Amino acid sequence: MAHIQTPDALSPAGYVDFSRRRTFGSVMRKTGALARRNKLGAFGVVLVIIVLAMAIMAPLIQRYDDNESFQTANPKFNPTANPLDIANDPGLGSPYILDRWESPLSSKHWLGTDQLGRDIYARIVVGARLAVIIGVGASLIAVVLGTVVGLFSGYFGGKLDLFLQRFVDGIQAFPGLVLLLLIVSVMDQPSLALTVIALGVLGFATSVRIVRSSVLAVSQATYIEAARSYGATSLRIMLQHVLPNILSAILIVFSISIGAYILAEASLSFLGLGPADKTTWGKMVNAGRVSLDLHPWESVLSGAAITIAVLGFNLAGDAIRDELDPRLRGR
Amino acid sequence: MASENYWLRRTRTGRVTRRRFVGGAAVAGVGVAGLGLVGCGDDDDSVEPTTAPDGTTPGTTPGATTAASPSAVAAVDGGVLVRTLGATQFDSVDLHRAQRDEVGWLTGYTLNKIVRFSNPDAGDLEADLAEKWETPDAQTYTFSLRKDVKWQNTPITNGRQFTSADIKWHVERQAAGLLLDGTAASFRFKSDWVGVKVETPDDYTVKLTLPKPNGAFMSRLAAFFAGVPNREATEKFEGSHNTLTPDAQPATSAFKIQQWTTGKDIVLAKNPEHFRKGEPHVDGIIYPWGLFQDPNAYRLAFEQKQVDGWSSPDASVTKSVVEANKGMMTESLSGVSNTVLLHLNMNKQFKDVRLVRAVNMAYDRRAQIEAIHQGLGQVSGPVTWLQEGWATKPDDLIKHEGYRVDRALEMKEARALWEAGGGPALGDVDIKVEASFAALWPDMYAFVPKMLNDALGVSQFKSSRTTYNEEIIPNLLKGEYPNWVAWTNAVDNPDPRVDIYGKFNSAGTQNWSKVNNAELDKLLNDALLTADTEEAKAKMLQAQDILLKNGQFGACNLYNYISRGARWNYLHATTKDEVTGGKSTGGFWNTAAGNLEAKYTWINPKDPSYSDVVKNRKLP
Repeated sequence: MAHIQTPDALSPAGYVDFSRRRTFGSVMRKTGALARRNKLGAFGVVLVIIVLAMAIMAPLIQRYDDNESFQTANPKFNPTANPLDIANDPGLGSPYILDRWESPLSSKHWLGTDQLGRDIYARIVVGARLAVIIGVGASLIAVVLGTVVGLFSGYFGGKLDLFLQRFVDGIQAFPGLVLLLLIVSVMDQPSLALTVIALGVLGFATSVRIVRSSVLAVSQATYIEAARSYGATSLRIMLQHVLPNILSAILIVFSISIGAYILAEASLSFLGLGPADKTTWGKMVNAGRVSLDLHPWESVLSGAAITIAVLGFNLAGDAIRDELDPRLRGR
Repeated sequence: MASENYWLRRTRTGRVTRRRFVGGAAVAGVGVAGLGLVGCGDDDDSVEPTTAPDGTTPGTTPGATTAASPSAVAAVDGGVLVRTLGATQFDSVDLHRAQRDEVGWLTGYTLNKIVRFSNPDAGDLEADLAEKWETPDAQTYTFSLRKDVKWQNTPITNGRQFTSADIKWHVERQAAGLLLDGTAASFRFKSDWVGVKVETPDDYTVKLTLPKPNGAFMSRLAAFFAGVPNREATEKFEGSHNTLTPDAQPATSAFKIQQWTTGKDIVLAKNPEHFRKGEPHVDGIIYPWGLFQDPNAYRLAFEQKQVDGWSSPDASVTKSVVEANKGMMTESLSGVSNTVLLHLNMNKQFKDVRLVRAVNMAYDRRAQIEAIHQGLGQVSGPVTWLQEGWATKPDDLIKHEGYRVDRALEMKEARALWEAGGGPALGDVDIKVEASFAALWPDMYAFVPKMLNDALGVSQFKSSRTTYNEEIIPNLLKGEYPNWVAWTNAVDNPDPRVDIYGKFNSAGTQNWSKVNNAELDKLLNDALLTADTEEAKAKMLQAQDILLKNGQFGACNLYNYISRGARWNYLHATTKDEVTGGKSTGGFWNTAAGNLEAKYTWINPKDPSYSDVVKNRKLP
């Protein structure tokens, strides 16, 4: 008997059969094949795994508290030293001297220390957690919002579509970073939650566009017509027939956006508008640039961490797109 | 250079005294680092160390400089300075109502005082608007005014003569504390003038009769906010005093405000109507807005000679840049007169003084000096070390809560007080960091709560952003201000009596914590009443003891730090020896920085560091 496709399987984006049973061996074989076919994508996935591993295991691998200042007792300390003497010898005024700007590659501080004598490795590891939370969180918000708006806009069309798309046009008309700066700067306090929300809300416009175009394509499919003829409600059709068939597009948007949000957060933190009390890579780049010519490590290493994470998520996102939606390749 | 030999010699022979250093510090401090509430310029006025004649840089010894000796090189007129605004939160064009030091700083360039400090280090006075004065008794002061003082010629003033009526209005308006429509307003120095009787027998004579003796009265006339503003302009802009406009502050002094644009710059131009001919030497000064808040842009601007002086929040960077430009730049080390302060609100969360004492002890002053100033600073009690002679002696200070060397003991007692005072029940405690302070040291947001949480063994403290203009100043009078840490007002006088009275006497106009302590009141009153300086100092020491035992009632002075700055050598900065004739003894230059700059600062076109970039500057 010929295989009878269900309406769901008629997805124009390619049939994804989630019901197929997979063994560990088959998954590994397929993964290996994918890696051989898309070496760059595999490299990106490796980078993402490294970043995710750092983020998840941060408390286990960070070695030190990211805000712990290392210091050495100062035998010269004189609590009543007059300021003139302190100006001549700043060591007189403090019971200890911070181990600031130590070079990398020591056993105690693998990546050196910053201006406050804090371990750069520990801060990069903790920064990874923040980067992942912000990247994934913002991307999630953008995709969820974008999916809801895109679904309604694409499915119902008409005036609702017109209104929603002009609204999206309005958001996209503003330079993203400028709008982001505006939102964050008018808030009283840049917090982690605020940063994630601001990035997600601003990023949803892109998601809306992609989701809407996918919905438009799916909406013309025969199985949607069939569902309508059965008397299914619009909500049911959207949730049970349209949404499952645009999941690949949503997944692509989600994965590709993460890197962009990490970069956007780094930009905000670099400008002093990121989460004020958290250790972030952007803040580290900014802190280190004051003395970049003397002590380049903090900026260079945190900058490298941003590069690795963004590159990884971008390459991995591209690979996911290539696998799930070959038609989007090259876009 | 001869001057280098001179300064270096002084350093090597140990003739650079502590007070000499401190003096430079005050001006420079305010200026360069930006620092703080004062919007002063670069730290070029500071005592400068150490670029030796042979081009080496023998360390950070304050007191040596490459600046040309005043006697060796004649001042050259002309040119435009580009300096750095140390702070930009100008809250009012009305000098009487302004709370922010920026406003007082700016008027140091444009307005004259009845008398001014000839040697701000020591508090020596000289005539300014007054040619001479008499004090027949402890309550009566008669001033004979100059007859050649004219207001800047604007459509509001028409360049009219300055007369005794201007001073009468200046005194009576502040004493009344009322606006034209009769409504009461916050006049920062009202307490200086309440009860003072003003008589003007003629246009050039003013007789002031005090309600009671005030040993600090004359120094108040020369202090930071003592400039006499123009009546017509002040009244015209009374309803819009928060809006910056040059028209609101016509000048009498060496500079006039040509441009005053939020977010852009302040441009000061030579005032042709100024009575001291020959001042200023330069045609004008441009202060770009907010440059110090971006340390990298600031550094770049300095290296390209777009500004004449600079200081990095990382002192080692300043040092390296000066070393890389031997013979072209001069380094300075200068104490910053804006004390770093932790202010806990005793009207709200910290009503129990035990909680204030606990946090005051938990706050590791020396750790912060080491962390963000690289050790360049010293702890300050209620009276700062800039006011040597009045401040609690260092040997005594380190026996008091919050200043002891034994951190374990401090933390133990702090925790006990925190518990006893019900600290854990407070929930989250937000110690806000003022935005301009955080711009230089963004790590403060993490540093402060971690320090307090670790010391008190809690996780209640957090930190967020605040600003003077948006949240602090508007809420001071109402007692609704946040807990915050940042700079406080500049030390504006060698004599701290009036400032301390204002902050901690129950009748003080800046008593935001609503301190009401009879013993403290009496000591502060007595200190002010006496003309005997030694007696006053003894009273002030006793008063400080009370403050130190009570966590300074929430207004906890932490420390004053030392800023390492740099300037190009073409800028002939004001040097202390010029001002003091080599008799420098203290440090409050910021009180008179504007008029000192007019007198002593000039651009040397023959210096090797001079370039077309400097030459081609024009006033807008």
